[in-house]
Parts: sequence; C-alpha cells; structure tokens
Amino acid sequence: MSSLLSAGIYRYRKSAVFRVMLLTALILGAITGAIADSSSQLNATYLFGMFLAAAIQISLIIGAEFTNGAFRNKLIAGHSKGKVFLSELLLSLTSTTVLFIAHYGAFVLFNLSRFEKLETGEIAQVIFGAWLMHLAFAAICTAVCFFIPYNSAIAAVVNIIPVIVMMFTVSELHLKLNEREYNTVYVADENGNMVAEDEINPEYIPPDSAEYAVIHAVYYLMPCGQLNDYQYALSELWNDREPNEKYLEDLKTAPIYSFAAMTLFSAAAFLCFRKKDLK
Amino acid sequence: MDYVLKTDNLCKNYRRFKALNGLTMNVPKGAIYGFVGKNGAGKTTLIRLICGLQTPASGEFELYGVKSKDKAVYRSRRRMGAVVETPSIYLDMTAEDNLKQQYLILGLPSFDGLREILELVGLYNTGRKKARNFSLGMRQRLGIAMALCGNPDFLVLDEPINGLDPQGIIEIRELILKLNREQQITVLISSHILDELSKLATHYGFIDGGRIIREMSAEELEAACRKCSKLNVSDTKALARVLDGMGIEYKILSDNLANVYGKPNITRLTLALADEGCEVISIEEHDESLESFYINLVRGEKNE
Repeated sequence: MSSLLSAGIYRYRKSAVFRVMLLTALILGAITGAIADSSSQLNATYLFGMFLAAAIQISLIIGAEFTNGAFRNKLIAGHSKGKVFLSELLLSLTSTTVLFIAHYGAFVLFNLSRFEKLETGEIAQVIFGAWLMHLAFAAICTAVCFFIPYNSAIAAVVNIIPVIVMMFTVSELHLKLNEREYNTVYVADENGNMVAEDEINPEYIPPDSAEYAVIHAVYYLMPCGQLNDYQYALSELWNDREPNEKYLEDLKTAPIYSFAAMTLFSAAAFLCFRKKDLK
Repeated sequence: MDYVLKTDNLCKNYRRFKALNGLTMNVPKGAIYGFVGKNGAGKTTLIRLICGLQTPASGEFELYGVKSKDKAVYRSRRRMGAVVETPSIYLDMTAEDNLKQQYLILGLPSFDGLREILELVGLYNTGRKKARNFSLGMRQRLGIAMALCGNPDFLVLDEPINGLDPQGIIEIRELILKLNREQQITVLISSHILDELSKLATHYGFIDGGRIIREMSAEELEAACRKCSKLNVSDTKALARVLDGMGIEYKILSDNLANVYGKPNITRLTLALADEGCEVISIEEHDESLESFYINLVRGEKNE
C-alpha cells in the first residue's frame, strides 16, 4: 500500500493538472476573498471555485489512469483491487486537502479581521466541518470516476454538472426547511380596517417531523448544502456581528453527514470496481 | 519439467459470448511460448486473466505453482511483467519518469538498473521528451521497459509488434531473444503474425474458439510441417494414376501443378511418368509454413 501511495504522490508531483488546479484554487481563493472583503455580505458562490477545481482535478487524474491503462501496471505488480482503490481514494482526499488549504487560506487571509471574531472552538468547528465537506465531495468525484472508467472527459462533465445542479437544489431545500410556521395576512375587520392576522403556512415543516429530518439529511449529505449553511452561519461577521449561533449549532452534525456520504459513495465505487473486468 | 504457467479448463464469458472455453495450457520455464490464434480467439482474454485484470468464470491457473484462488498469487505476480494490448504508460511523463513510477509501484528501494533498462530498449537518449511525443515503436519499447522493471523472470507480451515498422520488429525480436538467452526470462508472446513467431518461439500454443487446439515444441512443429515437392507436369491425370499406383499422397493444384507429399523416389517417378507419356517440366521442394500448418489445424478442428 505504501508503494502505491509513494507512486501516487510522485505522479501528482509530476502532474501539470494538479499544479494548474492548485494555482487556480489559490488565485480563486484570493480573488473571491478580495471580493468578499469589499462586499457587505458573504455569498456561498464565492467559495464555489474550490468544488470545480477538485472535480476537474480528480476526474482528469483518475480518468487518465484508466485511459492510459496505468491501473494494469498496479494489478500486474501484484496489488489487489482493494489496495489500488483505497490508494486512489486517499490520494484524492490528500490532494483535495492541499487545494482546500490553498483556496481557503487565501480567502481567510483577505478577511482575517472578520474571522478573528470567532472563538477558538468555533474556528475549529468551521475548519474541520468545511474540510470534511470537501473530502466528502472528493470521495463522490472519485466514486464517479470508478463508475465511469476509461473516459476522463465524461467523468469530468458528470462531476461538474451535479455541482451546478446542487447549487440550485440546496437553495430550494433551504427555503423548504426555513419556511415560517405562520404567514401574516391582512383582513378587513368590522370597521373596514385592515388588521394583520397569522395564518398557518401550509408549506411549513415542523422541525421534529420525519419529513424535516429526511429533507435535512439530504440537504446535509450534499456538500453544497453544508456550504450554504456555513454561509448563513458566518454571514453576520460581514456586518460586524457575532456569528449566527442557530446555524453553527446545526452544523455540529455536518461532519457526520460528510462522513456518511464519503463512506456510502466509496463503498459503492469499490464494489463496482471489484466486479469490473478491466481491459 | 518446471512450468511457469499452467491453466486448467479456464472459462471466461462476456455476457453470452464465450471468450475462453475450457482453455488448458502449460508454459515451460525458460521457453519463448508463442501463443497463436486469429483475432477474437481468446489470446488477450487469457493474458488479462493471468495478469489479474479479470477473474475467470470457472477453471483456474497456477503461476509458479501458486493457484489463482490463493492469495499468494499476488506475490507470484511480482515475478512477472506484462504488456497487455497497448503499453500502459503515462503520456505526460518522460521515459525515465515512467520507469521511476513503475519502480515505486513495485516498492523497489532504489532506482538502480533504471538506466540499464532504458539502454536495453534503446530509449536512453529520449531526455525530457514526453511519452505522448513518442512514435508507436518507442511507446512499445517503453511498455516493454516498464514490464522489465523489478527483474521479472516471466514476461507476457500481447502482440508486441503490432504497428511496428520492419526495423522495429527486428529490434523487438532481438530484444526478446536476448532476454531469453542471457537472463533466462520465460516469455509468453501472443501474435497472429505467424512468420515472425516462427523466428522466436521455442514452444507453441494454437488457440481457436477460446481453447487450445494443439501445444507443441518448435522441434515437434518442424517435424509436423510437411515437406512436399511441387511438380509441374504436362498431364496431371497421368501423374495422379502413377502416384495412386505408388501409394503416394498428393494434391492436384491445377491442370499442370500438383503437390506430392512425403519423399518420393524422383527417378522412379519420372520414369513412370515417361511411360505414361507425361513430361516433367519442373520439380521444387517446399516446407509447409507455420501459416498453412495453422490453417490446416484450425480447419481440421472445425471438421471434427
């Protein structure tokens, strides 16, 4: 296993794709950090470039392994499919961590004064949760590459399109989860004056209901859903206010969902790869 | 006799298509085993199975005496190198980087011997040229170089001369012969270019329809390839009467040409033909080529 990891690190060091994506992540982090610094609110789209960089990098590097037949060398050398898969997954997660540090490091540097308002525990929670969120996304992209071998271009497209679809989906799910219990309606009283009354919102989902739990689970299993909530949690910092504790409280469970997404997709991809006849 | 590879009734299906149908073969240690078959016969499928890229539907094989279902077969594979179909190389790396990558995959402690391998395959002077800019022959040689990393004693080459120019074919042939003679590397080489195999192989396995139809050594093949005399005569009907009288096997090719098998007494034959009023215009001796032997073998199997 260590030999596969050494070989993989050597490959990443020599890879122009990785170097370009690393530079892209760094530049994007700096640009979006500067834009956010001059803006009155934090927008999740500022942090989106990281997802695209990771998707493209993982798709092209793992896709090339299939296209070039490099996986054959590893199996012929006596490594099992399990070890080969695990090494590729670990390398994807490690390279994503490097991109994460580059991108968010640059972003935070431009907005240091705002993040200094967070307590140490809150900083640790945000960093750890965001890092796991990106690792979950990397695991999903890696799994897609193993579901669609031999075509790095298609894998890249399949990895990028859901990112965009996720953006719109999480907005809708966020609205659903945060529907108010009552809507304010104006009705005329006996004297003809318009008075405000509370009317039950039919779209409201009680937080203790099963439907809420399911929607929330889907929302958090998608890395973009967690990113959305990080945005809401930290958005108060942009107006010199304390972070939104409600979202920070919700985000304490985010690592569990990230870990679940990583495990589910990795397990499915491994089972698919193990059964696959390689050419 | 020691065998590097033994297969026992290997079967492999791709949906409804039977790629291997009870294939049993034995590759002796130190041999250059020529694996002969037409396109779609099952050569590459077998190679994929023994390299661990796919699993058989049934049957098993032994690699250095270790059964395929035994986990120790992973260690046995460390003693082999293979080029399956196309060379498995990183196109965005140089030849040296590709070999370093292979050394790392094999877990070798250093890059000793890397330059010697590049010299052996003739890629020592490629410098910083990326593999994507290599010619087909250079890529084939790089693939063989990667298969040679780690000093394997069993080399599996799947149609290594496909797409090569004549010079490239000669170089690959001489490289294989050198590896076999100087380093006693056992080679399994699959090809449908029979003429080229006949210059290399010490043993042959003929495959058709996913199974071995004949295994033999080069000496046995030479004995089996029938010698014949090609006669150009004025009257093949008279020739046929004479040969029937002598009990000699023959085949009429045209009104004037016939192949006569075995070793007929030419003097007796020409005198007998003269009695029949038949002139002998020319006599040529031929050996049956590997190609015609293979075609007769496959046709014979089909007729059974």
